[in-house]
Amino acid sequence: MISKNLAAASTKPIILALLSQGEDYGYQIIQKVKTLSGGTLDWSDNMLYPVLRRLEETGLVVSRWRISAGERLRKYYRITETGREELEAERRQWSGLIRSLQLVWDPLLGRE
Amino acid sequence: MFDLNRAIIGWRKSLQKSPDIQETDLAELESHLRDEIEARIERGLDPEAAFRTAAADSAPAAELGVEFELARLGGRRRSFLSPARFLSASLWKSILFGFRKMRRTKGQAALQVGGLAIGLAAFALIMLYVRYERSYDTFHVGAERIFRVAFEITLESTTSGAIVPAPLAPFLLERLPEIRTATRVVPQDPILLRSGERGIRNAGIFADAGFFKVFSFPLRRGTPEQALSDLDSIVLSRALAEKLFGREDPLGRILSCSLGDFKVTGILEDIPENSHFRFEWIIPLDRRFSPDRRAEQMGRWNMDDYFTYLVLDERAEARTVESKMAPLLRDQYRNLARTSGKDWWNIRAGIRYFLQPLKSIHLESHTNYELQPNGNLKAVRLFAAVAFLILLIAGINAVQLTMARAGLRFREVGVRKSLGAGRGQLLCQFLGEAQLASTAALAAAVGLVGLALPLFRRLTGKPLVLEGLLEGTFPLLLIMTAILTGLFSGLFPAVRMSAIPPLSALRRDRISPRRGFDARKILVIVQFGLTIALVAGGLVVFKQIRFIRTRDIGYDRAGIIQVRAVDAAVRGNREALIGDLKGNPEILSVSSVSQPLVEIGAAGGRPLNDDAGHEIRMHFYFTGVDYNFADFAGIEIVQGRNFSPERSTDSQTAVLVNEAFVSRAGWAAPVGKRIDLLEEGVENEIVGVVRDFHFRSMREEIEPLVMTCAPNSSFVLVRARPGRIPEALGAVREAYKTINPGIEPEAVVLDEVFDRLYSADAKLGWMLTAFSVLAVLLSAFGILGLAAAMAERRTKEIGVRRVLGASTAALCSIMLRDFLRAVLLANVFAWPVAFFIMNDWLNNFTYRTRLGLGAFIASALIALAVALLTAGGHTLKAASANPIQSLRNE
Repeated sequence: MISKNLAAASTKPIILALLSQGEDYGYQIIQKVKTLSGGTLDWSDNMLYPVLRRLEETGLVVSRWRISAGERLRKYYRITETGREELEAERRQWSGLIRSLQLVWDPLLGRE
Repeated sequence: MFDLNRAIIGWRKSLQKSPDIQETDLAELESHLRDEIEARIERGLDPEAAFRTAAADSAPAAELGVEFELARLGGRRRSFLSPARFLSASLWKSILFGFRKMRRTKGQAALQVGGLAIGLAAFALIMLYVRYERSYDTFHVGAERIFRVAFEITLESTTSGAIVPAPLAPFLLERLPEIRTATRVVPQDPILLRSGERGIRNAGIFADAGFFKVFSFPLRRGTPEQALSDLDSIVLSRALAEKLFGREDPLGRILSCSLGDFKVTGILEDIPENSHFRFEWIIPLDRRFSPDRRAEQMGRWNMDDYFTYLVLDERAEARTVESKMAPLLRDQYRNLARTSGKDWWNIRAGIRYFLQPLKSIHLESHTNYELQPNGNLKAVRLFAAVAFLILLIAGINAVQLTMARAGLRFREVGVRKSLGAGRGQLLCQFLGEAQLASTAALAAAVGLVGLALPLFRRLTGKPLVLEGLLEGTFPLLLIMTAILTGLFSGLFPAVRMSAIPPLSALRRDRISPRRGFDARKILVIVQFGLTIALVAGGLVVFKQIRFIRTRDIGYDRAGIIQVRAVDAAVRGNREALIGDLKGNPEILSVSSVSQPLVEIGAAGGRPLNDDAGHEIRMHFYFTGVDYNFADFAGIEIVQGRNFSPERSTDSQTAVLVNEAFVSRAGWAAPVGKRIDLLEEGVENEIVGVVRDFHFRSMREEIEPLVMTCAPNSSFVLVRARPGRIPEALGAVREAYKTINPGIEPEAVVLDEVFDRLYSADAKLGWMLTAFSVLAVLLSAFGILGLAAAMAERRTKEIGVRRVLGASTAALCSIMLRDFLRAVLLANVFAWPVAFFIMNDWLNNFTYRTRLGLGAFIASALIALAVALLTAGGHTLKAASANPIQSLRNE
């Protein structure tokens, strides 16, 4: 399991990344995250929705209510230009972070 | 049978409880839940189990609500005109937050804002009154340079007055260059002014031509320089001119009265209500006496009749002028003693003269002789204190209610803190909310003042207007008060809540009331204490008023009508008038006095020797009375005899004195003493001593009184048959009109005069009562809030106790014990405070009621009843609730 703090910090880039691949609605986003992370990221409760709301308020995503063929009415989210810029910034930050973590960890791993 | 749709609707309803979750969020959350349920059913669960597990996995309403709220606040895009661009972001957020919180907890917010509004409105009303009382005579141009000369002399007792001899003003004007100008004013009781057929009786003043140089009463017609320049000029009030002349131009018209004929030379604008003296007409002072007596009368140094006003130079100090005045006047009296050879002038050399600033007269001048009854500085101060007390009670209420609500916001504070809100931000938020409440309260208070003003006007008898709130610095005062109240009511909860560690806030740890002192309980005690003190004060004032009203004044006042019979046509016919009245079946008996019976004003003084030969400097009041006065009024003759028409010398030399006179003179056998009491060159013989009776205010001790025998005097007294006062009044009117056709007599019922004399005290009593009722109401508000919070806090305890078998009654008594303790403790400090203040107030009265325990016990009982009634409701609800419910909720 990933710690709560880390999960909270990674929520925004993950959602933005998923939405950059296309329009989607809340339940689907959660399912995709579960699949992608192999269950280590668990957003089983509906706490995702306030996060989506926040992204919308800050202008990173936009939403609309829509019915796809044969489905229920659902709220779909789409990433905006600002959202893409933000995603790019996040991506740079995280890549940098991951690189530096690897640099620190590899020697440690090597010693074991 | 499980109904999935109904279950989902129920779940949705539980989320709706959180006001932060909006309709569109709800729809989305529901959509999510349905997706979850479908997925679970596909995995093989039955609908009911699918719903239960999915619902269990979703976050509870409270948590979701907070998250949504934060999302909205954090992410708000700033529009160009958004206040957030101008205010600090956190302050703006606090204000927004405040609005939302208020909207959400409507009941509590209404209680808080309403309580504050009532408090602020009471404060504003009282301050309107206080400011009005302090505004007297400020409308005169250069009012701060106008002073009145007053005197004080201590012989056996102290006498003071704002009246001085006529020659004093020219005497000082000639010798002291600091005095720029001066005017003398002498009030005149109503006289009849006639213009052709029409005749109106009104009171007015005699004044020097310089009257309008000192005072700036505005004139509608005529000029200040010319209005009083001729001996036959008369200036009328607008109202009087309209009554006499209707729509015709009054200027230049001729009026006649007992003093002669006068030409109208000026019309006054309405005299402001806040003038320390009022009048309907002005006649030049010289016309007070006929030309042959004028020079002599206006030169008398032993006739204190003249209210004398001086205008000092800008550079002159009142103190300096006073100190220069004293030796000048002392020498003047000594000179008079030397040149006349009369020793009593030396007594007058002991008179202390002083200057009263014009603006202080209304509230601070309480000499024995005033133009009109003045206000009472002590009462004004008392009310200012009451205003602050009520504000304090309202402020404490606001703190209580904020704290009570804060108790329900632990989770919110915790979440905000863990999300990184600093202490300052939280402080800002709580203070912002308090400020918002007090601002809303101020707006509501202004409305309340408008609503209450007509009633308050009647209560105070002052023409207060809503616009008064906007005068001078008043708006600033009100706004500052609101801001300070907001700060005061917000600071305490803000500091308290922002200091809670986030973890304990999230876990909803309560700060135990048993740990150290509980500030909220202290506040309740203070609040109760203030309320008890206010109520006790009001009750004491009422007790004193009743004491005075029912006190024996020394004669039988019931049914006495006093008729002023001084009109030219009546003066010579008093005997006929009295004879006429005596024959009327509605009237029991008739007598007469030369001074109005409840306010004998004529006074004199002279040295006497007591039985041991010591000199007594006697000051006394005197009046003439008819032969039968003592019998008429039911006043006992304790020594000697009454006047008798059979003895021809009685009406020239005989006098009656009262017991106070005898005891001050120190005479064992007063009857038969011969002495020239009235300085008229005639030896008066004391023929009898009457029992003391009140002939001036009940506030004053009974002073020595000398009564001369004066048949058919100026004030005819009529005693009506019991319960027939209106009929007797009718008879008086008829008899008067047969002698003086077409003219209404000035007749007053003594009981009513008496009531008017004490109406200021009665008003004080009613105002204190009104405001103590308010204080009780406000305290009830605070207690309501606290009781609600306490019941909520102890829900679990109550549940456990109930499960263990406690009865509703037992539970109530446990919960109410705290409030009872608060009321009892409040008494401990309220009683001494109220005792000292009310004892001080009662010391204003010579004859005062005892400060018994009754008022205190009664106010304590009232506080107790209010506490039990307001706290009882919540307690009963909490105690009778189903324990399963309360235990599960916890």
